[in-house]
Amino acid sequence: MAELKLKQIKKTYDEGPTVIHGVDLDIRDGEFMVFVGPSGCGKSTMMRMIAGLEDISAGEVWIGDTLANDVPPAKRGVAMVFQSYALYPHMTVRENMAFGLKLAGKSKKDIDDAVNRASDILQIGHLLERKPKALSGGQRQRVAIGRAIVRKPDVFLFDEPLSNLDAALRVQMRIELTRLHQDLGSTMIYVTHDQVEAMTMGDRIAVFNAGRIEQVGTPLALYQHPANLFVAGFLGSPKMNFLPVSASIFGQNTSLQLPGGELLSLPGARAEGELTLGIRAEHLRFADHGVPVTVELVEHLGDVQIVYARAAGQSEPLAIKLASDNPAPASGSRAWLAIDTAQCHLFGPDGQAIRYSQH
Amino acid sequence: MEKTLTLPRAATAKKINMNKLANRTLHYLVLTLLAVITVYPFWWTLVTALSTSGDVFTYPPRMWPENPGLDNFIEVFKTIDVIAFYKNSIIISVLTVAGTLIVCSMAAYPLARMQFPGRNIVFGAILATMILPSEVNFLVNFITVSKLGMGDTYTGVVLPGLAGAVGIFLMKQAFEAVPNDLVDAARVDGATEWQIFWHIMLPLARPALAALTILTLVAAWNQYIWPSIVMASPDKFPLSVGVLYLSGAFSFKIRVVAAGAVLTVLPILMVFLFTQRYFLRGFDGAVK
Repeated sequence: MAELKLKQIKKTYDEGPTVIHGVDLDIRDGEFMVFVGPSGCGKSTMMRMIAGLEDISAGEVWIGDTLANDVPPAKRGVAMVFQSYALYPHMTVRENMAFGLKLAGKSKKDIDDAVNRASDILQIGHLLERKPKALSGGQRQRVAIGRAIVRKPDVFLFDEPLSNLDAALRVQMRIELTRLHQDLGSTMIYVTHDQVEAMTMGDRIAVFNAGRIEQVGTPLALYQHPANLFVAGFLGSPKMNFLPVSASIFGQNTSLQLPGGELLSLPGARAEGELTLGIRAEHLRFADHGVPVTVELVEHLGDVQIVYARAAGQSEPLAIKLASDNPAPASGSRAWLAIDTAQCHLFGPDGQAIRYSQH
Repeated sequence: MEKTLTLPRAATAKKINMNKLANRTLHYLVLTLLAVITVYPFWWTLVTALSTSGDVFTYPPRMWPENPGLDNFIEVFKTIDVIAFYKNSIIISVLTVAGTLIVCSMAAYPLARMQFPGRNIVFGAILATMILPSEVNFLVNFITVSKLGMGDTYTGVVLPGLAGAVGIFLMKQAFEAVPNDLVDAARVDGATEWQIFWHIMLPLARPALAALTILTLVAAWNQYIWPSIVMASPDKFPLSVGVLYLSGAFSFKIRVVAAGAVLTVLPILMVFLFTQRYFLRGFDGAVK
C-alpha cells in the first residue's frame, strides 16, 4: 500500500511534441483514482510513466517514500493490467500468473499459494491449466487481473481494462473491480475514456485534456461543480447544454440575455459580458412559456426519454431529459423550455466556471 | 418481365463460372508444368540409380527404371564409407542449425526491439549481403578460417555461414510481430531484457525458428563447395562431398553416382516432407 505523488510531471518525445505539460497530483493511500479524458489526452502516457514503461522528461514520481523516477518497473511495487490483457500466449493461466513471482525468485510453495489465492478471489481456479486462447474475453480479463494481484503490489494500474469487453460483461466487471478494491484496499489508478466507468468506480476522478489535468475531485463534485467548460461537457450523458449569453448585473442578480432575446435572472451571481450558460438535460423541462424551441427528435431509453429541441439561431440542439411517463412533445412541434435557475452554470470567456452561491 | 430479368442474369452467372474454370485450369497447368520441371531431374536421378541395365543417356529419356534393383546402392556402400560421411553431415548440419538459430535470433532482437542510433544502417548493411553470392566470400573466409587455425575442422566449415541475412530478416520480422504490451507486461513482471528474449520472444517466434531450422538444415546438408575447400582429410567429409569419390579417376559409373546422390538427398527430403507445414507457417507471418 502506498500513496503516490506526481510533481510537475512532463513528457516530451525526442524532437517531438510535449504530451504532458506539468501534472501535479496526490493520490492517497488506498484510493481508487480514475484518469479520464478523450483519446490522446495523455492519460495512458501518464500511467505508463508511473509504471516505469516511459521515461519521465521532467518532474518527480513518488511512490510511498521512494522517488521512483529511476526505479525499474518491477521494483516500483506496481502491477499493471493492460487493455489487450497482454497474457503470454505460450503459457498456461497458472504460468502467466506465476511468471513475475518466478522471476523474483519466490519459492514454489509461495508461488502456488499466491496463485491459488488470487484464482479463488477471481473464481478462475478451474482455468489454471488452460492457455489464454482457450479463454473468453471476460476470463482473460480476470487472469490479467489475477496476474496483478499475485504480486501484491502497492499500486494497481489499470489501462482501459474493460474496453474490449461487451456491454453486459463490462458492467459486471465494473462491479467486481470496485468490490476488489474494497477487499484489497490497495491504491488503484484506473485509466478510461468511459465517463460511466469514471463516475461509478472512482473515489476521485482526474479529468485529463491535452496533457493537462483540468480538474480533480469526487465524481459528484465534478458533475455538480465542473471547473470549466471542458469538464462540464465531458462528464454527463447527454452532455451539458451550452448557450451563449450576454450578462449584466441588476442589483443582487445577474440578468442573462439568451440568444433568442429572452431574459433569465440568476440570483446570487455577479458577472458581466459575453458568457456561456451551461445547463444539464435533467434541469430543463417543458412549460407554457420560456425559451421557444422546435422539437427535433425524441429518444426513448426505457426509464427516461431524451428530447432534442433547437432554439432559434442555435447550431446544436438542446437535450432535455424527461421521465418516461412524462408526455413528450411530438417531433416537429413547437414548445417552450423552462430553465431551473438554481442549477445553472456560468462560464467566462476563458472557459473557466464563474462560481456563485446558488440558492 | 421476370423472365427478361432472370435470363441475362443466369447467362452472366454462367459466364463468370466459365471464366473461373478457365482461370483455374490455367493456374493448374502452369503449376503442374513448374512442378514437372522442378521434380524431373530428381526423378531422372532416381530412375538412373534404380536401373541395373540399359543406356543411361537415351533420347527420349526413360521414365521408369529398367530391371529395377538395388545393385547400384550396394555398390555405393562398398566403395565409400557412407555411414562415416552421414555422421559428418549430421555433425556439420546440427552445428550449423544450432549456431544459426542462436546468432540470427540474437542479432535480430536488438534490430527489432531496441532503439539505437544506426539501427537501420546496420540492418540495411546486413540485407545488402543478400545481393552477393556466397562464393564471393570463399576467399576471405578461407584465409580467415586458416589463420584462426580452423582449417580442416568442423568449426571452420560451420562458423562463416552462421550469421545469414535471411535468418536475421526472418527472426526480425517474427520479433516485430510480438505485441508491445507483452513486452511491457514482462517488464512490469520484472523480466530483464535477456529474460524477455528468452521467456517471451523466443517461444513466440517458434514458427519462424522452425522455418529457419529447416531452411538452414537443407542448405547445410547440401553444401558442397565450401566444405570441400575447408576440409582436407577425407574422413571428415560430409556425404555431399564424399559422394565425389564414387567417380573414380579411371572409371565413371553414372548409375552408382546417381545412387550416391539419392542417398545424399533422401534423409533431408524426408525431414522436409514431415516438417514442411511448420516451414510454411513460419513464412506466413514473415513474408505476407
